[in-house]
Amino acid sequence: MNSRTPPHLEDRIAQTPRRGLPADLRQACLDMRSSAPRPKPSAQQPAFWLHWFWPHPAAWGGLVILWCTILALHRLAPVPVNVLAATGASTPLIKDPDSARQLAHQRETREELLRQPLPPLDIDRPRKASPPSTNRIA
Amino acid sequence: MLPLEQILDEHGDAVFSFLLQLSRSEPDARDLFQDLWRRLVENPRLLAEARDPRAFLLHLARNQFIDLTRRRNARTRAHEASQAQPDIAGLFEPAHHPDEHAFREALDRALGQLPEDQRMVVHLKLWESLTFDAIATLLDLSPNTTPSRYRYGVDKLRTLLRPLYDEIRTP
Repeated sequence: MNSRTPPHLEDRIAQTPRRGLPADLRQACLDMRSSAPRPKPSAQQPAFWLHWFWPHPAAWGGLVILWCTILALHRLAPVPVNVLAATGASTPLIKDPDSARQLAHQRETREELLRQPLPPLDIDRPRKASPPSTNRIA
Repeated sequence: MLPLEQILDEHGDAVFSFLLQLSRSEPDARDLFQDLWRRLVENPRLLAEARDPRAFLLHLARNQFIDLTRRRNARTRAHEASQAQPDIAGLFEPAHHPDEHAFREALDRALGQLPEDQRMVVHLKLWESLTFDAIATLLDLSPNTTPSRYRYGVDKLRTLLRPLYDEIRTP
C-alpha cells in the first residue's frame, strides 16, 4: 500500500460514472422482443400424459418390451396335451394301435358302467344278529 | 417474474458496462449484449429461478464473453494482438471539466492494463459493490482468490493513477 496515495482513491474510482446502455441498443433489444416468435402453448406445456410418463421413460419402455416378449413366447409355445384332450380334439393322440385299442375298450367299459342303474342301498333295514358260531366254541 | 422491459431498464446498464469492461470493445460488447438478450427473449424462464437477477445476468454476460474468446481461434487473436488496440474503451461518461475528463481517460487506460481476471473482480467490487463471496460465486472462483485479485488490481490502478491524481488534487 502506498502512503502517498490518498486513501479514498478507490471511492473516487467507484464514483466515476460508467457508460450506460446505448439508446439504440436498448431499442434494438426491445424490437427483438416484440418480433420474437411466441412459443406455442403445446411447446410451453407438454401434454398431460407426458407429465405422468416422462419421469421414468426407460422403465416404461422396459415394461413394454417385457410384455411384448411374454406375448410372443406365449404364442410360440406348443399347446399342452391335456388342453387338446379337454377341447375334444379329433386327432388321435396315441399312435400305437394296441394302446389305442385298449383306450377305446376302457372308454366303452366306462360308458357301459355309467349307463347301468345303481342298486338301492339298504341302510334303513336293521340287520339281524347271527347266532354265535358253534365252530369257534368247538 | 419481472417483465423483460423492466429487466432491461434495471440491469441493462450494469450488464453492458460489464461487457464493455471485459471486452474493451464497443462492437463486441454490443454483440454480446444482443446475444445475451436474445437468449432471454427466447427462454424467459432462464430468469425465473434466479434469486438475484443482476448477479445472474452478470454471470451470463461473463459466460458469453468467455464463449466469444474461445470461438476466436489463435490466428484471429494473434492478428488482433498485432494491431494497435485502442487504449481507451469508452467505459465512462464523457466529462465536461478537463481535469475530470483526463482522470476518466487515465482510469480507462489503466483498467485496460489490468489482466482480465483482475479487471473482472475490480469492476464487480467497485461498480457493483458486490461482496468477495458474491464475486467468487459469480466468477466460479474460490473465496480466497477474489480478495487477492482485487488487491493486486487496485494496487496497480493506484500506481498508474497516482501521478495524475496527485496533480489533480493539488490546488
